Amino acid sequence: MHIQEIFNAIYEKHYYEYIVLDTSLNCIEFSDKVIDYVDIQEASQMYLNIVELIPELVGLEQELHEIVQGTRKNIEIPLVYRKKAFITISIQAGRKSHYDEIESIIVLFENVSQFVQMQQKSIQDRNDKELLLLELDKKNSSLEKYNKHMMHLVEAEMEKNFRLTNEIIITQREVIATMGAIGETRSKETGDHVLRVGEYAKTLGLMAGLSEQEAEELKMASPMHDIGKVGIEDAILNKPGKLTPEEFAVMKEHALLGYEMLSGSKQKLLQTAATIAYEHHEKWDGTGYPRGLKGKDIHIYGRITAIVDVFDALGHDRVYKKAWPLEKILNFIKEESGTHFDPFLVELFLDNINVFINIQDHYKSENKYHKV
Amino acid sequence: MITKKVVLIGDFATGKTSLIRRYVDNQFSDEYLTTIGVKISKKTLQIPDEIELQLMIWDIEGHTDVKTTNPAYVMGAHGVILVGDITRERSIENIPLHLDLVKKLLKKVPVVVALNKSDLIPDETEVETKVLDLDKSLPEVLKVFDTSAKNSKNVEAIFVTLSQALLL
Repeated sequence: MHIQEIFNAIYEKHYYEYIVLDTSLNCIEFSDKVIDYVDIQEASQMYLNIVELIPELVGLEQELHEIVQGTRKNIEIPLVYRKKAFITISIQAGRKSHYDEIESIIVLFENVSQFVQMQQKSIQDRNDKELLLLELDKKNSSLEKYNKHMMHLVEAEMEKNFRLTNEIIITQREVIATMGAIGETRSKETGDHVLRVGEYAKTLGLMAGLSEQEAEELKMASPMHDIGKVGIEDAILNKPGKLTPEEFAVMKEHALLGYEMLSGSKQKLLQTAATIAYEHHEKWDGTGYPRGLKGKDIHIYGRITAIVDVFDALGHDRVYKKAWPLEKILNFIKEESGTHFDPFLVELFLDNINVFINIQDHYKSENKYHKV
Repeated sequence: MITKKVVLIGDFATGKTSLIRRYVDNQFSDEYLTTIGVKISKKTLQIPDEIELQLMIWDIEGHTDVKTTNPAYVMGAHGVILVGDITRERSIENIPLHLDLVKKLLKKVPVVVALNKSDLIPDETEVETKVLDLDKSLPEVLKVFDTSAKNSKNVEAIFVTLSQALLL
């Protein structure tokens, strides 16, 4: 830029102030108000080297020298905050024309405070917003960490509860099986009988449309169907021959006794066991005991247990009889369909007899039934 | 008296102004007021050997995604302090980028790093780990400090360490 053009710009636009330097970078001329932008108190102190007047130029001695040499076009330092104003400092060579030697260096000060004031709020807002987002990110990240930690704790607790519940279920199952076995042992029958009854009952229950949970409950509860026998005197319970009507009347009491033993519990499983103990000797046609319930008034658990209990009992030796052959047992069950047993369940049972035989094979005991 | 230009470079809101304010005026404010352009502060210190050194400390506008560091402010610096916010991972990740700018614009000058706002991390081990990790990854840097403009931790140390290097 020609020196005259610079001065024209300076005079046309009053927000420019200037310092003119000689080629040794000493101040030789300056505008009236430039004192506002430099580090001196009085105008008489202005005749110094530019680096002493403008500390922003410390470190730029090489670049200033390059301007004097004509190898660098300019230096511009934008938005310098000085004495409560924002200024842009630009330094360039001054010459009469492009072809003339550099005769001076011009330092221009442009007051850009108005521009900065306009920009400041939007920059501050943008940065504040950015910080807020960063803070949110941090909080979210902490929350995520906390949630993960909590999830681990919950999962660990759930796993522990699941394990404990499982242990309780297993213990319950063992206790129930043991209790059932006690009843059976008292009548000199094998403990395996109750386990087999449980398995058959679950299988038949699923075939009859019970849910997995209901069928499992039936499996666990049905082994206790004869628990009431612990209250029947040995002479009747283990009598080898046929019972007299009086003895049979006593024997029938085991259903009610079992119910009374179990129904006091609030546990659903024992309530179920109580129902089975109470109703497994009821008959479809209403001729069973202890209450003479009929048809579907008999709980399905009772109806299922009735079939599988008879099936297993007939296939094994008892004190009062020898084990029956399979064919005879199946014929008996068929004959009793609609009188003793639920005909729908009998049909299911007989149609799937191989499944029940397989189960029986899993529980081989000394008193196997005699296969035909 | 020797005069040297020192410039603080880092992401916005990392505490560059607060570090200077703590060092020069021994003051601190929690209020965040973004720096526009550049403000220069002077600080004279006595380095052993009785050398009086005047630092011209350039507090420049922080680097953001939309506005990067203006090279005009870095030009001519004799020493650089790179500043990151120890609680803001992104500002630490950007330190190598600031260092690249310094290496591009300046001949070999001493550089120290301040991981500022360490008072916000209660776990001293976490602070030490961050400092050591960054120190290992930046072999060109004189030293990485964890600093706090709030409680003054290492504020003097960064300027003194850099000043001593400036006089070598």
